[in-house]
Amino acid sequence: MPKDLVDFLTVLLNGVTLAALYFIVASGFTLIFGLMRTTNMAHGSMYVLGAYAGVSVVREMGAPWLVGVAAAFVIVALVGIVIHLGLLARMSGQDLRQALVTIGIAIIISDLALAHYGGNAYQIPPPSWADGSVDIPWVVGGKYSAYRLWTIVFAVVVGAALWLILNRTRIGMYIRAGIDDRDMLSALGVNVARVFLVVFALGAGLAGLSGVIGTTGLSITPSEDGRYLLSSLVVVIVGGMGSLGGAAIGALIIGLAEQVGLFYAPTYSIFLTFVIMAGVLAVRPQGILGRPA
Amino acid sequence: MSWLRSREGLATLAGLAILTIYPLVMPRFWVLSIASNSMILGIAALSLIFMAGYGGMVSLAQAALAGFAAYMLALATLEPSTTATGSAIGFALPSIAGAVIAVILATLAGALFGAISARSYGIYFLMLTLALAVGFFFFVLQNYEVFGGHIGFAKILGPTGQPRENPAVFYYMCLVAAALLYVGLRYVVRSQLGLTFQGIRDNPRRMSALGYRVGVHRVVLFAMGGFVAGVSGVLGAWYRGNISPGVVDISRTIDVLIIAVLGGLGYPIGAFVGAVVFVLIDVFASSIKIFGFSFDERFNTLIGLGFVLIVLVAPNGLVGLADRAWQSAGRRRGRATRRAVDPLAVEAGIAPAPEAAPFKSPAPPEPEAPAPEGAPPDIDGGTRDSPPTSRL
Repeated sequence: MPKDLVDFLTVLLNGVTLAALYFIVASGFTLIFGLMRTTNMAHGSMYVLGAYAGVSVVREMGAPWLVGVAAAFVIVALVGIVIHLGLLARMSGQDLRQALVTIGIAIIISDLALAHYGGNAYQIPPPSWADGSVDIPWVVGGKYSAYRLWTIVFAVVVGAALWLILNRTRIGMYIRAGIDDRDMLSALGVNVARVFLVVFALGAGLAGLSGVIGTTGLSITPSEDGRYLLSSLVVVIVGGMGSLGGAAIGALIIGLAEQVGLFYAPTYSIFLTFVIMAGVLAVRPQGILGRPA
Repeated sequence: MSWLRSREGLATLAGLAILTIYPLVMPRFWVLSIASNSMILGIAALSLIFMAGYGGMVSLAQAALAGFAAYMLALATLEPSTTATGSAIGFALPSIAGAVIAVILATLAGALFGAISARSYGIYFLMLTLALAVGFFFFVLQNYEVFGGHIGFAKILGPTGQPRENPAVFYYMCLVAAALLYVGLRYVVRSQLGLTFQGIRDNPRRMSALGYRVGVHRVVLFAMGGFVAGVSGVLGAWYRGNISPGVVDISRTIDVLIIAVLGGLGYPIGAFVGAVVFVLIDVFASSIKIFGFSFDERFNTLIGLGFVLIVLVAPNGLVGLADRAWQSAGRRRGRATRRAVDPLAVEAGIAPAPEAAPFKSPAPPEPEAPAPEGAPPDIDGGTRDSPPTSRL
């Protein structure tokens, strides 16, 4: 195969694996926003928290990788519950104020992470079943990281699980009904406050879980929160707020744009992302799959 | 009323006198690191308060626009050979010419950001401008060809030379810029244009139905915000003597928001009040102890806690608190005053609406703002409140 084509296919595969991570991070963000109209500006910090929980559990305590993922999900979901009950539930419906409060929380979390873990970059060792490389003839070098391929599997699993929760369970029915008409759902006797709590915990937990998944392939420092907040923002702005399918499409577009840009115009790659974002907004201000506000 | 006005005038005069004498009697540290720094940050926050208070546009891109102006200043004034990475860009213009170019380009950048985000409102607008700001940060971080990558540019010299050598002169330069922008913006918000902004803030649909071009006005407002932020960026570059991605990173972006919220999103003077408080906390965090816990290294935790606290208990910021105290004192003296709920904060969703005013939009945020002739007609008829009694 010509070298250019091999390069291009490798870049595409990199883009898709990055998109898988972006999708998992953004899914929690879009879920929370879709139902509660709460912009969780601490979403990147939830990712960082989850990543460090994974570092502590897997690296320092030697637990299996999947236990680390579960622990990060539970720990960050609990943090989310505390934040929701302590702060956000008290200012329901005041979206700007909620955004400001979560910004304050993000500052505190990244500072405390810096205090406890220091500024060094950490990585989580991949589990044995996802270690090493896979022979793929059409990528550069003929081999590709097995773990990066597994992230695609993780994204599909997370996406499928969320789809099942949303479409096949009672709480999912409440969530979908709440996205359409919160007041009506409440009038039908559903405890909307509890649905909100579950969704916020789920969204935060997803960010925590993605922290472990991301930190296994990449690395984590206390200042990574900005990067994942940005990716979540751009993914849901492009894909459409509150839409799971939109998050998947947005993540694919942004992941591919980032990798293609990095390879072909390294010092201008972020430009491509923002040209795409501006272009989508010019045509559809609500995002590709978003509904008009 | 007239005694109050004269008293207000007196207070302004006294304040100006103090600000003028300040650099002559205070040590250099207080002139530069506290006062000048506060004014530079305050101008950046002023641009945010201007956009948020009068256009309902809570922009998180102001630090990025300021940083953009600083980069443009560096590129315009530095010798090609002195750039940190040796890239051959640099026009070696005089510092004043460079500053003018930088501010003009920041205004244009503001217009571009405005064009991208003009159709987004509220929280969407906030997210979009944050994305633009963080995008700009990553762009200058990875771009070595023009923006010098993670090093940026050093040795940016202002018209007054090193601030350290002439602290008072640099201070006066900041003071004049801050005062001119403050007075200028207060003039703008009372003009036809400013009232149109406020109309769009309160009800874009109605303004559009009245024939105003809402999108264009929002772009213009963003461009004006870019102008103000650009001035802050130029002064900041002269103050530090350098520009690097660290100046436009996400925490600097958030700092501007913190200052504006700390001072009060609805009050232009809040920008400078917030900036002074922020800088004082920044400088003296090491000596603050709460329950025996020293915030020596944990300045950000302290500022984060303070920020959450302000949003929780005083959505109108410190100036809003003072305003409310003043009004309740006035009530005790038996003067008729209205409840001090900032309409902007209500509009922005950060304060509960007062029971007495069920409609959006009532009081123009500027106390003295009279409804001039030619103001857009109010099709709701009697919903607009009578002119508010004075606040401060």
